[in-house]
Amino acid sequence: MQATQSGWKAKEVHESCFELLHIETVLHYALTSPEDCSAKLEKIGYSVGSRLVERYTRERGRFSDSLEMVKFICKEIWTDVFKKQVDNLKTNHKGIFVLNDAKYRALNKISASSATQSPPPVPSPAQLTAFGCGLIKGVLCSMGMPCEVSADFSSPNVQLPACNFTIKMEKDPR
Amino acid sequence: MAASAAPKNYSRIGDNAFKDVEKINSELFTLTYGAIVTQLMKDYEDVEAVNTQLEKMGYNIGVRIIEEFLARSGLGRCSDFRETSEVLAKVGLKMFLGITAQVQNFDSTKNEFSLILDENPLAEFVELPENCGNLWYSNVLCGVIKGALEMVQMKVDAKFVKCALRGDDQTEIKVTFISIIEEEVPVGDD
Repeated sequence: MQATQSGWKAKEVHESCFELLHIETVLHYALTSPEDCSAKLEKIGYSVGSRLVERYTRERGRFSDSLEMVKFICKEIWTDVFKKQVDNLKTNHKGIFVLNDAKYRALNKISASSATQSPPPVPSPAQLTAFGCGLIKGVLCSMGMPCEVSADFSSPNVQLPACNFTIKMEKDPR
Repeated sequence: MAASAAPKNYSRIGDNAFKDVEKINSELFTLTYGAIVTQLMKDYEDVEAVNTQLEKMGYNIGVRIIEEFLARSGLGRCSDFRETSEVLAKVGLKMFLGITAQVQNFDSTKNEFSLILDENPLAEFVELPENCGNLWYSNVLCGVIKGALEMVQMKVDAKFVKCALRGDDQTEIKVTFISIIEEEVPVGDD
């Protein structure tokens, strides 16, 4: 049984239920609407993020500033959803945060199984990280911190399955 | 019921398997599935199309999920369809969703049975909006059943007949055996 600070009910399911559902959804949209696949996945992530926040804040109360909120995402939320914490967090203290996940789950699965994964399309890293972007955005926007979130896995020091999620706050954090 | 020397305790096999797997909070799963269904409802005008998509997605998941099921359960081929029903209800659903279903109305002539779900993590705290009359919200499960059983050479049909979200007294999936799928011998050219 997994202990979380959020104090959720103890009901659990096999983690592969979530993983398989996510991957299948990515594949579904990659196939049926490739032009807005990532947008739809981000919307789904956004919905989950904003609903999760309702639960968390009920237990915890308000966060004092955006940094505290982002740290909460990096630790508690990432652990509950992806079974690990974000590995590295950087900020310029002017509303930009970069979250580095050295082994983002969805990217990990695909690079491991791409050898056996038969039918195209093989989802792109952008499609595989769209849910995560939406999740972060949904959490922050629901906390009154509008922002844009993008994923980057193409920098020289970020190699698959690592990924950088960049948060750009729309207004200066308090 | 087929008599065997040592009847397998499927509930215990299911419990042990579930104990060993990595788990996540089921609420996250519920929220994710709900967001997906909501998006599909926006994508398709027609609710029947959503039912179909959910089943298709479930089928693909079922095809992938069977491998882990067989590895963790250690179960071999079922000797008859009744055994299949018990394995599905007590081991399969338990291992992945942490729930147990009841097998009812097993009909040997029609080769079908009903799975009654007392709990359904997909639908917890979900309320269907007004315009969803014909939606089978958890239809992904029917696809999973079909896909998984097809991988063990069994062609079945699985359909919701009742759903608590619709106000029915219980949540019920009817599973009907269609045929055994003959294993194809690949034409060797490698």
